[in-house]
Amino acid sequence: MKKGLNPPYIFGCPVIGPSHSRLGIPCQDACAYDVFEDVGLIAVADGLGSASRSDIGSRQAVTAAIETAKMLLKKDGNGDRSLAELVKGMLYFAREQVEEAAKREGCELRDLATTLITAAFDGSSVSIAHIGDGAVVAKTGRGLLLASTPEESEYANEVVPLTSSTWNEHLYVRSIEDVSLLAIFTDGCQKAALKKSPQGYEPFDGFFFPIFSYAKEIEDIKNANGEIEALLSSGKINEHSDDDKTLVIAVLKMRDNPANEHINSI
Amino acid sequence: MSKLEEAIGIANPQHPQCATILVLDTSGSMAGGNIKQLNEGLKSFKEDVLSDELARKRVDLAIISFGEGVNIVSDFSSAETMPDVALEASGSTPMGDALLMAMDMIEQRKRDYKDKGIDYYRPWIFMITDGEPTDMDYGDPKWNDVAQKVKDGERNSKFMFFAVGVDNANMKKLQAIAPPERPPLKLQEGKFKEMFTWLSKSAQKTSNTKIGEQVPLDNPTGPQGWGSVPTN
Repeated sequence: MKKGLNPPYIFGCPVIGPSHSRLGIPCQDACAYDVFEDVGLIAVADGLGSASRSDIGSRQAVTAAIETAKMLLKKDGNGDRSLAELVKGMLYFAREQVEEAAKREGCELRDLATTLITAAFDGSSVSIAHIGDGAVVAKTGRGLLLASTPEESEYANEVVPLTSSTWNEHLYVRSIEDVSLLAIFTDGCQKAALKKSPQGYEPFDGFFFPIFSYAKEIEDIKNANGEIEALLSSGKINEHSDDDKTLVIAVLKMRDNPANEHINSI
Repeated sequence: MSKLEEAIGIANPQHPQCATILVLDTSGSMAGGNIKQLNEGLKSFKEDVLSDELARKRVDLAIISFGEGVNIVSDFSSAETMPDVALEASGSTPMGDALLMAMDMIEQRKRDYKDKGIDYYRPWIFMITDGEPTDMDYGDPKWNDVAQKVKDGERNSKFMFFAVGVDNANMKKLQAIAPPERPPLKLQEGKFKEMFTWLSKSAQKTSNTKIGEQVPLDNPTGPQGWGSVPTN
């Protein structure tokens, strides 16, 4: 009998970077995810290092995004649901909740500055909404696809966060089909996961093939989270970034179509 | 090692690079104690950089000498692969040509980094001299060209320019070449070693930050420092 969990399932976690643990700064990355009524929901946030309480901002953003998605899905019942509208809704509501958190904490909104990526999938259809850096890589029938790229700015460390007044202009939304696996990560993982060339970024096979192969074979989410945590705190990864790092992986349920079988075998 | 750590590869294993060019006066007047201290300083600088795990991978070092002509003593390389150098003093002080060459090399190096997808810190040009330029004079076209390029480079964040005067260096002329944001420093007598220790510490500090972050450097003119700012 085939081992492993039945898709869809999601795993992964944030890990504090060595520079933050050295200075006693909390982890500013956060993630939340769930599979609700067969719809996979993921939110990944990276609190800005320049914002004093961005750990609160990132946690608030991901929690709000997932709660909103569940609320919207409940409201829609089994009717037509647009994943693209859903991920945008997650992002809008997360922004509102971060504003609320700023009022509650008695601080400025910019003190909670954070990036946010929200994703939702149903079967092998995926929608993503993205503000700031970090990236999304999907495995589709045609190979690895950089589904959402870090927003490029002229200088390193300049990012338009969810809390910016112009965030709307920087919002990126994309829907893709035929996805079997999905990886969402913050910029701490970027050097390991994305190949940089003068033409831009592309997903690195050497990083994603082993991780996606592993993802399909896991038997226990808790152990898998431990494995991701060990990877993200490893010397191999930390040598290239001492920032916080988050990696979330989703294994999607492909439709029962024999033509798609090859997709599930990397 | 965790199972995944063993299995994965890193997309960009290259470390971000901090290009550093030392532009060193080897004119005849450096003969004797100064050139000896310069050679010793270079040796300890290399050892210090090698002793820091990140600096040894990130500091990309080149050495230009000016004296008997302008020479690339050692082209860009890591401290690990940089050959030992023994500078000899002779000739005049073709500082203008040396600076033009250093600025060209920096631009070319940045293009190489870009082509290879390597990130980089703002490069450093660190010049040490005991005299004044003999290949240009205040106000002539070459002088204006060199001084303008140094100032523009500093202002446009293309590089950081440090000038250090030794012994009888003409500090006024150095001041006219250096960017106003970073005036030249006068080396306190015999403090070559302290200066190179400061340089390697600064390189280590830079290598240990994220690109784009501000690096607070130790004050070279402080009580523990090696330099002073000329006031006249």
